[in-house]
Amino acid sequence: MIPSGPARATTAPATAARGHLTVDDAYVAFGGIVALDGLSIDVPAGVITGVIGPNGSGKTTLIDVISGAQRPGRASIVLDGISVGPHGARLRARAGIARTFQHVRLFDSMTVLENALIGGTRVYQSGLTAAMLRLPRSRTEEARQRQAAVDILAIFGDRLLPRLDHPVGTLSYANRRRVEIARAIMLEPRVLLLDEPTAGMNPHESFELAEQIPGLLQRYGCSAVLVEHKVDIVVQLCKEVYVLDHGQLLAHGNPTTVQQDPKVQEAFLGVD
Amino acid sequence: MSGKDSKDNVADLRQDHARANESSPRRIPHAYLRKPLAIGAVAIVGASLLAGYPWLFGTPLMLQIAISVLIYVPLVVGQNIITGNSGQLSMGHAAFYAVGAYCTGILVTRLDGFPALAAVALAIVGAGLLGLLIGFPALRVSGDYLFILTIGLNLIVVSVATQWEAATGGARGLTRIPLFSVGGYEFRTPEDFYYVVLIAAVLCVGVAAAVLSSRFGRLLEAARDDRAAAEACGVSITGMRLSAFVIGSSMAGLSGAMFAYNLGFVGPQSFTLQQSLLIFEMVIIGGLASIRGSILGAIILVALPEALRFLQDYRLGLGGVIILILMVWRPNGLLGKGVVAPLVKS
Repeated sequence: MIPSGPARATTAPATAARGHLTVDDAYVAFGGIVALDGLSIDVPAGVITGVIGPNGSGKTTLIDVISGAQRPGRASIVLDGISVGPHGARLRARAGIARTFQHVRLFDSMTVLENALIGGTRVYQSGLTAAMLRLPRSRTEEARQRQAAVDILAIFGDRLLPRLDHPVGTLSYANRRRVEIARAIMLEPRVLLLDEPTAGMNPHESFELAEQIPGLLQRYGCSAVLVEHKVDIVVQLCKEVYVLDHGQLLAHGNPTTVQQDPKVQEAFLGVD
Repeated sequence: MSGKDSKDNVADLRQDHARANESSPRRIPHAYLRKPLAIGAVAIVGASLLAGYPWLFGTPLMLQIAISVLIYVPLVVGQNIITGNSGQLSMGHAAFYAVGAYCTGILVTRLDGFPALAAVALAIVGAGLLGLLIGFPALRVSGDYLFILTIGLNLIVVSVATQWEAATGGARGLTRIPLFSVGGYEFRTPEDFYYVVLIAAVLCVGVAAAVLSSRFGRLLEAARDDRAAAEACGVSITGMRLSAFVIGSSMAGLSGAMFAYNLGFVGPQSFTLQQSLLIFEMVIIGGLASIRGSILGAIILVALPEALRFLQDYRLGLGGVIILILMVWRPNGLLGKGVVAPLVKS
């Protein structure tokens, strides 16, 4: 069930940076509309790479293609030297690609802690039968996972810790986003795909989250792809940013210099 | 709140949690179960009531009602795992029930002296295999399409049972099923057989509780709540949906075997769509994704019609009336956690 090989993670925080992701020549068309038109990006290990662009420029499609939720017309995706091209969403998660969704998707019948625990599915060494039989190794592992979940949820301060046993349906919108991010981190990812993590948050909450993201990534030394509308957050978090427009690469480089690019300004201001 | 206060607060909360974990490494999700004295008392009273039932309410009718409820328990618990925990709208549970009953019936009437426990085991395996077989097309369709597909399965099984006279005895069914016996001891009286179905039902509930409260139960519900999010967490939707079908149908196989031994007769008229509907009603009334709800649903729909015999034929509409009232007053069923509506949407 669980693919063996170098994709397996250890529970100890990784020391070396990981999560070098390359997407080469990604092409996706929905009927006649081309969402990604031969796009290539390179995400270095251990750092946050930004992806910005106007609405409909293909940002979410790119996240879907990397996470396996969308099957591309063609694309070559390599994570830490291993091609994940033929895998579906489940196996890519097993290979260490974690994601959040533009519109928060949680398991609504479950509590905060249970949601986070589901994120850790790939990490378990003991099988489901062992869990049903309550074997000792399964019980110690379960306890360890619960502690890991609490530790990760603690990164958001006292926002979620007092609510571990609350159903996620009772949470505020910002807290639902935090649970979703914690769930993704529980996967012990190599690369974390964040699709507009601050959407729907007020400036204060957005700033708070931007402060917390680097700490989250450090836990497993993973890299991240950040799709974001709020330019100040991209400037704060990313060394490098890709600007998309109509599924193509418009510009690429340091966020501050990219902002000055006349082509970028034109695309964002919608000048014809 | 100052920054330092908030940090201390967080540290406290984390320690609280760590302590809670130390004192009870097996954390049980339901708050009411955290009081060991209360559980102990309830368990002892419940166990003695169940064990002493034949003495306490020993009339033949009361005994037959109890046996009937206990035969329904694995059926309803199984249907609830498929529909409540896994979110699959299946409406052919009587098909698995039938396979269990016919497996037992055919084995023990054709092979002289076939051990009863082996017949029960094979009934469970046989029904589970049919569940696996139906689980595969169930992966491709969901919601209302699965509903229709499983109705089709039920119709096919009933028609095979009616037509294939050589094996099933056709419309006349299989008669002369011997008494349930273990190691030469025959369970002759209803009092004796009561304990057989009681043990079967308790085992089934125990297995269901162990399975659903484990990590597996969590994954099952994750796959039900949000398919895309579950896949993004590395959960196998295929694995979860298939195993729900296999577990749920095996339990129906156990009920089928108990049914055959209880009546000494297996005929196609016991496994019609009407039967599937009754099992489904028990789940809806008791509550989705709740084992206690399943048991309560079985009790209500078996015992209440008996208690209301003075209403004559009108009592058959009882399940319908209860559902009508519940859909307005408690749409999740009496003890349910899940919501009924998303079953059709997904």
